[in-house]
Amino acid sequence: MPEPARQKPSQFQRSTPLGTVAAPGTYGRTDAGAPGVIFRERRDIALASVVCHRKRQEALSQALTESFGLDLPGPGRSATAGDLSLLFAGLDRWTAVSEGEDGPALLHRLAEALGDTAGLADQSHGLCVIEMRGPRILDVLAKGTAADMHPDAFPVGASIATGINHLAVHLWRQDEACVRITLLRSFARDLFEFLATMSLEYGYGVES
Amino acid sequence: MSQDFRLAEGGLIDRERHLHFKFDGRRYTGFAGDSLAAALLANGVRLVGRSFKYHRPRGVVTCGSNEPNALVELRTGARKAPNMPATTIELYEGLVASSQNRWPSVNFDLLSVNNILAPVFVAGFYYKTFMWPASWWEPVYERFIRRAAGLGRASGAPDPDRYERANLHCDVLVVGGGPAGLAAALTAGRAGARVVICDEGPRLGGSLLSERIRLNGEAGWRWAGEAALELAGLPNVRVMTGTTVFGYYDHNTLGAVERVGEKGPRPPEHMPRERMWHIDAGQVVIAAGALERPIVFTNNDLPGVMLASAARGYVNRYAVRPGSRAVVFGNNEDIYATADDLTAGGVEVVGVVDSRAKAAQSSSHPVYQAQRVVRALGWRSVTGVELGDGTKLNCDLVAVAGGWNPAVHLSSQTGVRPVWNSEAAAFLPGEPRQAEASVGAAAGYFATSDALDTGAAAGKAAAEARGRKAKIADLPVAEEPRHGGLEALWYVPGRDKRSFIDLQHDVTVSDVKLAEREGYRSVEHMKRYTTLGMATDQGKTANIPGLAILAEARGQDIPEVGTTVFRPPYTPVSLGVFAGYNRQQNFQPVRRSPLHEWGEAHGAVFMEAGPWMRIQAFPRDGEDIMAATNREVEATRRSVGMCDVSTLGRIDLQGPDVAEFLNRLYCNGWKTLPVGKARYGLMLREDGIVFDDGTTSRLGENHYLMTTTTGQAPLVMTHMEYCHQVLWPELDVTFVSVSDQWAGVAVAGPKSRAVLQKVFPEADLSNEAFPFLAAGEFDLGGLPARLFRITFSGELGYELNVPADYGPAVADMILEAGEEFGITPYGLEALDVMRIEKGHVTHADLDGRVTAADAGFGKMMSTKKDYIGRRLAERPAFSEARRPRFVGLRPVDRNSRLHAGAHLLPQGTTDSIEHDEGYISSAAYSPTLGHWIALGFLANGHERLGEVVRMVDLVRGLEVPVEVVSQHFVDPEGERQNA
Repeated sequence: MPEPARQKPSQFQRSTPLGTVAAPGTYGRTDAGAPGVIFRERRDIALASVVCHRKRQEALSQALTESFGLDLPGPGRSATAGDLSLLFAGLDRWTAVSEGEDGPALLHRLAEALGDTAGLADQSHGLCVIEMRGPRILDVLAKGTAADMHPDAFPVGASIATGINHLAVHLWRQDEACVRITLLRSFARDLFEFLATMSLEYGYGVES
Repeated sequence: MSQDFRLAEGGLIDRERHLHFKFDGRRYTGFAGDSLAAALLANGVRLVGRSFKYHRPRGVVTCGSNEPNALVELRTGARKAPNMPATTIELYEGLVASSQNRWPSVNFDLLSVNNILAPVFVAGFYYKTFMWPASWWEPVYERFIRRAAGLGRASGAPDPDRYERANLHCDVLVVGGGPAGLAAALTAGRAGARVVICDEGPRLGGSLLSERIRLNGEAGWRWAGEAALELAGLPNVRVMTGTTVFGYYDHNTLGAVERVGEKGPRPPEHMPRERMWHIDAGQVVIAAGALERPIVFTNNDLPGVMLASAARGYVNRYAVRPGSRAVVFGNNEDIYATADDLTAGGVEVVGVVDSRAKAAQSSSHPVYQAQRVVRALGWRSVTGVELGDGTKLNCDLVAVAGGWNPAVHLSSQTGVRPVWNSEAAAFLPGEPRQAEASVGAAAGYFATSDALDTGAAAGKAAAEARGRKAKIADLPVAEEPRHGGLEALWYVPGRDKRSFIDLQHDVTVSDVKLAEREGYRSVEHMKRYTTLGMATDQGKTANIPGLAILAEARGQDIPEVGTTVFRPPYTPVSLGVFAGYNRQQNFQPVRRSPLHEWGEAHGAVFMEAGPWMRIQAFPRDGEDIMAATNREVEATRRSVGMCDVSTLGRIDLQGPDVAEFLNRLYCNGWKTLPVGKARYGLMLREDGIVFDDGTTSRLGENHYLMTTTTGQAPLVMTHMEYCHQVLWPELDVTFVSVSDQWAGVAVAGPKSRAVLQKVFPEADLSNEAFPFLAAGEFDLGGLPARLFRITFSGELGYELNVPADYGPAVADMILEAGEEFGITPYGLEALDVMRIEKGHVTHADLDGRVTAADAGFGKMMSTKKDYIGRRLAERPAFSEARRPRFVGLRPVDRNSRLHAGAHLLPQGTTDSIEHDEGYISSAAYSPTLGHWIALGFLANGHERLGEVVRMVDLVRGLEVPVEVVSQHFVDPEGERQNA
């Protein structure tokens, strides 16, 4: 499903799922050790859903290896090659994550490489990516998810679909210091308000 | 008042930090490190509450969470918490508490008349006494009983504080921070295991804080302090004080509550009051200690009668004299340690009453060997005791040592029955079913050296079970007073009606005997008949003596009678902490459209629609919702309006078999839909009832976009997954939700084409090029936009989808383009009014009882293919003439209002169910027609157009004659939408 190259939509101002509720600044406790958590909403990341067509997983896997040097990750895992990552999202599906391009460009790149092995859909606007850094992120996440986020149990590259405060989220340890939360944009504000409340006791910062 | 009962030195208190507090309105002073009970006793306050049934005066009995008596209301106003044990409340500056269950005061309580009426209030009295007249039970008796028998009162105001829930994962959970728990945590922690150690008290140490135990020649609490420091310094160990592990559940998960914000009148800034922990533990070491039990005798509930361990604890830990002249009574060696500790604390010990035939050691105290206290003397507090031989001793404190019960609660909660051990005369934990081990006093190892040894061994085993190499920690050498040597004694016969087993529920020896006589001989029946052990303390001091007394009444041994088992929670847990964050507006997550903030900026009023917040209307100055809605409808029908429809479900389908997949899902046909066209589709459930509707557009050869209603979107997705995964896995189709990817704006009204033509200047949007039900992908200034010529209002209308982040910018662009036509943003109310005017269904009408034929879609149901719901839609009952069919309704008197939910009955009948012919499913005021209109279902309705029936609304007491008409009130020929 090749997309025509488009001009950048510069004439339109882009809004974000968190909008005005995540204004840059520091909040909550302010003494030594604060802020314990830094939040950053990432709208510069392109995402796409990749759903394998019937009996095409081998071909899909081969196409990914050939085009991107990526192996299809299994349950609980992600795979990264260069600026492109794949997160396991179900038995026949993955979420592609890419930095440095927009959704249509990612979709175009994937479509060229994967042909008719998978159904593809741009989710760059449908998903919200919230990055969490800081010394207290595990304490904050423990208030939301039952998953064990300790680095021994959730090392770099780990990626799971789970829940935070009754919301379906995808957690991904992208590097030692950073956990990314991906969820539907319509619930993003609700989740952020929850995480912010849970972070008050450690102090938190919001970066743009 | 000065602290007359405070010792000059000693105790684990900070004498530099004076804390001021109020109890029952009077001001007192205590020290940091005190419990409220300790501070009250230091100030000579011994009477702290009235008992549950008989309103007898009661004092402090224990110094821990097993307290049955000294329950108080803590704090005032909205933060008031009832039934809080004074023995577990950490004293803080400004603490305010009051006694409970008394009126007008704890010293003079009018309801103590119940004490005189005690013969009436025997076990099960409410079943026997309030039998007649039966009609009085609820309005009179039950209310009276509830008022008379309550303990603390709830504040009745919303709790202003915040609560949290959180999750914890560890290799080893150690429950209890006494010597056994510390040894276990040190051993496992040094081995590198992820260890969590919890203790309900404010500091680690357990018995080392309250008993005269020396470790390596120093006070035991010093070693405990060093151990706590080392544990706090280990990165793999988490120390949680003020945290009660209250429940042990399957798969080694446990519940704990951490009292984060109970150290002051309100939680510190940014902190919750309490936090609920869900602990997922690899191994559990239960080092919960043991609870001392009383010996029951006449008047044993008088203030001044307390457990011997409590008396020692107040002297040793809090430097408080719990009395001036003490009698120590017991059946084991603890009485001599108690007498020594009390003497060291400046309390005169006037007698040690040893129930055993022979003492194991000599004593410097006056000993009454082989004697028993038969009754306590006194009215408001104890003034003396009488022994079996008639000796009377004057005293104001009776310290009672009846032996120890291991805290088997958590072990028992896993489904393991406690096992009677006759040597310890106590129930010990049974064989573990989960990955747990009980150690120290909780397993019947009452000596400190045994507690250290068993704790360390369990810590090592637990760490090794989690793959760590562990070695036993170097353990200190323990010296402590003699203990043990118990010869069982449960109660001393006397006045059974004044011999209290369960102090909190006022259950006496005579109640248990009565239960046995009346046939409640099983321990479970006795418990429920007498309510023994069913108060907030769950019988921590009462259960075993009660069981022993029942066993004696039955003429059996304790193990033959059996025991009750334990359920969570170990101690009461506030309800707020179970709710955590999810209360009031945070009860469930809120879903917001990408145009939410845009709506706020344009003056929208929002309404809840399932999880969604949707725009209800855009009221202008002074308008109410109805006025705004009428204006929005009129403007749209006259010129052009726009509406946020982002919340609709959108499912992207791809693959060679999509058309076949749709053909099986929808009741109408999909094989002929060309690229660039949309079609209305109707899905049925397996049982032939309408499931959902919406349009599906063909975007490419193998690429379709389905839309669903907002509310049913998740269910439709689930249904499709089921159909694909289970019913038709052979179909090569992929589908994924893209609901959140797109912002959707409906532009409707005669001028909508003109507006959109300005937005897409290069596209041909003429009726010929882009007719009704056209669908196409367009470039909108670099954005991939999707435009659909579909409408819900019945007007010429379009739906424009753009990537969600650009929704607000594009909405503003449309507003700007429409300005010359007076474009009006409209909300859900106007949308609803217009679809009712047009006769379109929503889930207000499709309520799970309606077939496609009922709703007027009979002709859509294909006869050329099979689809979900076809077989059962063909049931004979579904084609009966009398089935309610979809119709329009309007009031004969145009000024009358119609109501959804009202019933439809023929004229000239009574308002009874046998004449019922249908109901109104949607009603609205139509600004287009200038009167109320409604949609509804009427028996054989499509053949009754023109007939007048009655709208009967028994809830509102209305009867309105209505005329049956076509459901298409506005533009029945579809000239507007096809224009």
